[in-house]
Parts: sequence; C-alpha cells; structure tokens
Amino acid sequence: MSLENKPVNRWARHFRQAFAEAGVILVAAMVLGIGNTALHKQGLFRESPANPPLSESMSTFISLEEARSLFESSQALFIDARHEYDYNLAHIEGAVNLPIQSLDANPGLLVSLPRDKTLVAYCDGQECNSSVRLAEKLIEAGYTDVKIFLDGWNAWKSDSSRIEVSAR
Amino acid sequence: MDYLTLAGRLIIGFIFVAAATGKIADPEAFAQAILNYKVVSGTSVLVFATILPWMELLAGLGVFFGVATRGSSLILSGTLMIFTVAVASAVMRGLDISCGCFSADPAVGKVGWTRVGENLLMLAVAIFLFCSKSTSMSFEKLLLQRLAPNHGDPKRAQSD
Repeated sequence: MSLENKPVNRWARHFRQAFAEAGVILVAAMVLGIGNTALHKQGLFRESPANPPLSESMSTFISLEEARSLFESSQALFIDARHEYDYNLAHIEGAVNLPIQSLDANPGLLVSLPRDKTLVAYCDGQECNSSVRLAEKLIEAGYTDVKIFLDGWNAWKSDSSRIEVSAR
Repeated sequence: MDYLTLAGRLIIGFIFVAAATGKIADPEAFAQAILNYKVVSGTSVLVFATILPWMELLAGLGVFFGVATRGSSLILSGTLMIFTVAVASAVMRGLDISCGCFSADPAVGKVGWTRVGENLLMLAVAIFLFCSKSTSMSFEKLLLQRLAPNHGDPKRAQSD
C-alpha cells in the first residue's frame, strides 16, 4: 500500500479539503452578510441609537426609580416594544403593546395614543434597542413627552410585583 | 449508499436553506433570539446574527446541490453541535424561550427536549454526509467529469 493510499492520509486529505471549503464558505458568508445588512441598513448598519435626535437630551432616558415613580403617579402610559408573544407572557401592569416590527409595517398604530400622558417606551433591557426605536417613532409622530426606560422589562420584573399577564 | 447520501443531502440542505431565509430578512430579531439564551451579550451578538444565517444558507445550498459538500457538511455539523448544546442548556436552565431555529419570531418553536432530539438527528445526518464519499448527483461530480473525464477510473488510478 503506497503512502498516498493509507487510510490516515486519506482522512487527513478529507479534513484538509473540508476545512479549506469551510473557510471559503465562512469568508463568503461574512462578505454576503455584511454586504446585505449594509445595503439594507439593518443590524450592524442600522442608524445607530447612539446618535438619535433624542439623545440630545439625556433626560429622555429614565432609571428604574423614575419609571416606578411615573408608574405610581398614573400620569404615564408604558408602551411595550417587545414582540406580542413576550408581551402576552407578562408585562408592566397597564402597558400597551406596540411591537416595533408591527410599527414598521403599520405606522398608523401610533396615532391613537394619549397626548396628555408621558409615554414610556421599554423593551427587554439595555441589550435591545426597540425602546429607543419606538421612542424615535413617537417623537416623529409628534408626541413631545416621551421617555425611554432603558433597563426595561428585565429590571422591572426583578424589582416590582406590578406586572400582569395577558389572557390568551 | 449513494441514494442515502443523496436523500440526506436534499433533506438537510432544504432544512438549512429554509431556516436561514427568515433570519437573513431580520438580523435584529435573530440577534434578540440569540440574546434570549443568555449565553452571549453585547454587540458581538449582532455580528453572529449577521454572518451565521448566511453560513447556514451557503452550507445548505452546498449540500443540497453537492458543491463543496465536505466543507458544507463540516459547517452544518459544527453549527448543529453548538445549537444542540445551547438548546439543551436553555431547557436545563428552565428558560421559556423560542429556539430561533427556523424563525426569529419568538412565538415559533419553543425550546424543549424534542428540539434537542431533532438537532441530534440532524447532527447525525450532517456527520454522515461529512464522512460519506458518495458524490452521486452532485455538481462536484459533474464538474470533475467535465474537467477530468478519467477521474475515479480504477484502471487509470492504478497506472498513475
């Protein structure tokens, strides 16, 4: 049996070829993924929430304590920007659900919110940006008293019992 | 063995192409599905969510059409191993989340031991494809036959 045909060498060739092909696929996936999101301004290339018009005023962002005090004052309407499924599982008591995806498809959903209340947008927490995007849309729609509860649902549920579950 | 490999290629290829398309359309929702596992955090998740679906798509197309089958099945095996561990760990931690496997929609496909079983089954098929030497009905074979008509001929191989 020649060295070339030894099973060990055949498997070594098999793995070398597999890793080379996988490398090409990985590079192609990086190029296509980054190119596609850049082209559609999605994900990494979405206009950053670091520079939205509302960041001009840091008072737009409220802490858990401020959110709690707004909640107790009954002068605020909490708006849950998460998916309907997550909202139905549990949400801040009295909050309405405006999933950011449904707003993209149907911006008309924004018109029926009360203008005499502070609108507080929230999503899961600091790792999501739906609350910031929702607040931007609210401001674009002409609402002036808009706050972002950045620590969102994760902070609220661990601190407060004022939560409710939607009947399904 | 040829037909078994072909069937495995078509099934796994179709599943991965179907799984990738929804995630490509909405990388942010897929990033949120990854975050829900509470294993990784920060903006690196968006990088994964940008590249991973395209890897699934290309590797899925690769095994489906028989182009770079070894590399594609290696990628599918690797990703399935990671998915299986992630789903199993989420189930053991009692997380009530969507797996994010076929859709970034959180209402679709919650994690559970059934999902772990499905992943293990697909992993077995992907490893089988990786080990299989069959190139029946693949573009690779078609291309080799065009470029080197004597490739794979035992008489020719002996005389080399």
